[in-house]
Amino acid sequence: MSNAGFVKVAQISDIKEGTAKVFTVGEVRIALCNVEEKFYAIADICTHDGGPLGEGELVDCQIECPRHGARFDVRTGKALCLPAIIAVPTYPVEVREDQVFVNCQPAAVGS
Amino acid sequence: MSADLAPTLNNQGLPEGTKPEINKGVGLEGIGNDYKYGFSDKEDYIFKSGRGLTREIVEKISSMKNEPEWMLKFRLRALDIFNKKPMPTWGNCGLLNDIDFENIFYYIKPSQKQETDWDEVPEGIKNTFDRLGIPEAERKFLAGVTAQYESEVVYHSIREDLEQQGVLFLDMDSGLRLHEDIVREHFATVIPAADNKFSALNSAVWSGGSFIWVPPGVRIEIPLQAYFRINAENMGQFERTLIIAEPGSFVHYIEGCTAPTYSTDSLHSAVVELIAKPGAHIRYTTIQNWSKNVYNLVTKRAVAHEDAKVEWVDGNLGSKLTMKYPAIYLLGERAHGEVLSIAFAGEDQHQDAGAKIIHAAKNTTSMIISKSICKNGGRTSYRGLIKVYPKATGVKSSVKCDALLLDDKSRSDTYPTMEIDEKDVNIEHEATVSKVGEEQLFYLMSRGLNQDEATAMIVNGFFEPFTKELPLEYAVELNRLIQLEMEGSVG
Amino acid sequence: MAELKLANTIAKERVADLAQRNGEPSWLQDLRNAAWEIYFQSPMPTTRDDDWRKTEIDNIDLSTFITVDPIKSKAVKTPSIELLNSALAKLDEPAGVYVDDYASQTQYATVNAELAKQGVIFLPLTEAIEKHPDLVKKIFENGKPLTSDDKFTLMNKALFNSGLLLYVPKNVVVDAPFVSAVNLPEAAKGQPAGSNGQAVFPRIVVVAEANSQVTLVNAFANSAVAVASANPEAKGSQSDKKETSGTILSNSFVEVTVGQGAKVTVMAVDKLSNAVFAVSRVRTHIHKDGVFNLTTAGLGGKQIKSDIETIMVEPGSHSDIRGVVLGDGSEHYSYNTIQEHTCPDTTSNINFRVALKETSSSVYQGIVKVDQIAQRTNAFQSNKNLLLGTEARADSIPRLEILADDVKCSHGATVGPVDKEQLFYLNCRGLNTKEAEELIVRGFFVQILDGIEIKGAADWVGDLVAEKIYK
Repeated sequence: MSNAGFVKVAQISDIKEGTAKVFTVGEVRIALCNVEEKFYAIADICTHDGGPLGEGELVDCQIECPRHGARFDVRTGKALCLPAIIAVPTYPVEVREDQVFVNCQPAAVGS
Repeated sequence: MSADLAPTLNNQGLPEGTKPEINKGVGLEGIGNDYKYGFSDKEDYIFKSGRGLTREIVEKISSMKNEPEWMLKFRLRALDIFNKKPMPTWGNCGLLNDIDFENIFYYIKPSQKQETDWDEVPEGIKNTFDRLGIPEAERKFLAGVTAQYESEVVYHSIREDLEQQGVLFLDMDSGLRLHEDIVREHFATVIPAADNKFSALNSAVWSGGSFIWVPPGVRIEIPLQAYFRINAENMGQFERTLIIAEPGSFVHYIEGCTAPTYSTDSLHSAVVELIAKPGAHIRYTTIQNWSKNVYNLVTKRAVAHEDAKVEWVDGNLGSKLTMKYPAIYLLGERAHGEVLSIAFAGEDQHQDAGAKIIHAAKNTTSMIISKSICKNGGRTSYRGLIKVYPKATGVKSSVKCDALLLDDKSRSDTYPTMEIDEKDVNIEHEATVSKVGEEQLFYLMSRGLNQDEATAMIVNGFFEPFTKELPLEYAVELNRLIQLEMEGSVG
Repeated sequence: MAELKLANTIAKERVADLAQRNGEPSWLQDLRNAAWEIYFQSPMPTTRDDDWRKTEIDNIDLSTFITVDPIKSKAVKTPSIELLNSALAKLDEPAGVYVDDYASQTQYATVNAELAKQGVIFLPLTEAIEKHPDLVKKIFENGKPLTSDDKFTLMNKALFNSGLLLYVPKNVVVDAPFVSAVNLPEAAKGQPAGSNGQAVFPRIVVVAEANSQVTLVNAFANSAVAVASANPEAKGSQSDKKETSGTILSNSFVEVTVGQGAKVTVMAVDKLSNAVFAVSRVRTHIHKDGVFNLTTAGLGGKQIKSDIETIMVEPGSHSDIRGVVLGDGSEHYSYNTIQEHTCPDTTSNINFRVALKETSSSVYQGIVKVDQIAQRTNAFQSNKNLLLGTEARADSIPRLEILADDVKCSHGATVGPVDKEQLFYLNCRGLNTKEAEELIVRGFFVQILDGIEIKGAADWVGDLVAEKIYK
């Protein structure tokens, strides 16, 4: 995988297992989620109402928006529960030694 | 009827040159004042929780119901969410903030077990439902009936042939006990606990309500009915209804609600989830006639998949404050949603009702009709949302709201929102607010009707789009209600 | 240049400083300070507030903005404002012209000598304060209380540094239009959008005394700036095409008083560049049998956020508010109309038409409030949205709050693309789809433009609309 576009965002130890933490990469706010020591990056915006996803509860690989309870799969961004319908963008993550890198360039965005 | 006909008709009804005198503001004096379901029974319960909401009560409800572990977890988490979530900062905040959550009884079990034979229902409860007309309904060979009294369903029946076709029509607790897999797959997927403060509350302490599962292709032509009755003072009723219509099936569910009149408040906070799978059709009719001390804060939401159709027919006549906006998420292509909402607000009532339709797939269509009347200081609000997601092309939606104000003490609000994120759509919204037309009154009075009769006729006409969607016995009852109460106001 | 930053952390002495540099009387300094106090305490709006939904207010960091110095020179020069010149070419010989041109550092007002003799005042606001302090003081003190103002209106009241006074005495009927043009400063290049910007605070005051009649045409423009494209790699973000010119914040406040039996007609045109975040409020009080006509045209700007607040304070008053909005690019328009019927026998009409090209978006919100005593109110509200761009977005939120029963209130709203039948018809007549669409858009606005009573104004705005359609 090319290194282009990956930006160092956090130390592994910054994000405890089973939690999410919000970072700003360029102009994108992401919630970086630690699911059993694997890291996933999703946009910090609920597609239902713009709620702060990163402040929600992370259970297994599902994150719940604290505002109205919409849930998303942090691996794919897919919406799993109403009131959200549309997937949230996800971003490629790479762990290099003890650091987490995320690529938020438009071309890299998935959802 | 046309206003410009009036002058010629005057010659037929009244002496030349005289006009029937229109007495302003008295026309509908009686409507909503004469609540005939306000009686109460002596309390004779198996279990009544203490006032207030605690973790222990939630655990007690779950253990009395012998629930699976996941449901207890769901309840406790919902309780946390409820405690954390702020009260809504919109709507009638003054009234909302008057709710004293510490003063409410969250769970009351009225009888030992649910009966399927009407004669077995405890005498007092039976008398109450007799007065509300349930056995009559029974005699009309309904497809199925449940009757909920306080927190539990006390009576339940379903026609045998439907059972044989595999239709499940149970109270929600039995649904969970007997069909855990179906419940677990669908429960709270339409309305998560965290949706709003009151869905969280319901999720924590829910009890009763209906569970309906209609097998693929089965069409239940006669409505299933449910009656909800609050009896105790400061009762909180939190029923939970889940209706799943498998592909190509049809079901019509009707619910009615009443409560005694007390000087202190009760709380009704239901969660209703409807799932219409491809090609299925669900119609859900509510005649809400709570007494004027009941807060009615209900979350109702449906999903409609491909070619499915969902209709909410929502009549709000009673309660102190109703906040209810039945929603339809049109998730599959060509799905169709309709909401027909009528509201009547008299003295000390605020009906804050409406509808939300979310178009998330191509060629989905929707229609909302809202009719409201307020008088004697009552307040009606229409709050609605039409949302079209990007790429949902070919969407058509039409919204029509009409409000009648009968005096200058009353208030009517219209708060529609249209959020349109797709170009290829056709969205229309119209609303009017007016008073009962003097021309119309004049016309009818020239025809020899007195003012009350004339006003009642206009009101009936105004509500007609709603009543014509009701089963005959309900439509007749509603018209009779308006008529009767108007008679009471004369002289 | 005095850098008056707008952060809440800035002490109120800075407001006094501005007042002092203008040599303002102490009562005005007091008013500025009072407004500042409440401004300081009120929270910054966010897009979570209904009034600001879908605007980019969250991206505006006021602490990095500086207020633009007022223009000192009052010398009359030939203005080089294209928008003004196009207006003057179409309109009747004006009764007066006000120019506030930051590009050429020109500010002046001229007025027909005959009208001046009749007591008509048409002056830059700073000059009006010097020459007619009692009049201005009375007007300022008669407005709505500060506590009912939102943060941006308070900001304007504390910091206004340009604008004009148009005062028409009793029984004076002025047929010719007054024309005012504000040409905003150029955006600083190489600054990130949303910060390190410049802020301008025009305040426009119109008073029409009993039985007078007056017309004002307001043109808001700015010199377009060539926009350098960002270097996406340096930022590692998805700002593929975002410009780096700094933002101009224009926060204007227009106060109109329509006296008994008076008639005020206003035509406002916003034709701004993509560097401008324009917040404005038009607040009008209409007295007995007064008539207020406003047509507003939103024809450019990064973000246009406009509140149009009309208060029918005495019986017989009438207001007619029309909007023509044509968006393209990624422009966003947020119009909010407020009709307050506070007494019996008043009428109001609202007619807003919005056409959106490309990825432009609009939020129209309107509310009709009818007080309990406001019997026999007639109020109509219409908002039609034509979506031309596949990613164009329109929200419509027309609201009614009715507390009187003898009323006729209604609203209607529609959202949709160009009518396929019309398109087909025009195709059959030999027009290609683009031409047909353009014709339909022009037709869409005709109803609004036809209602403009100012001679030549419909032509002028029609041309501006056409120019943008065919762009």
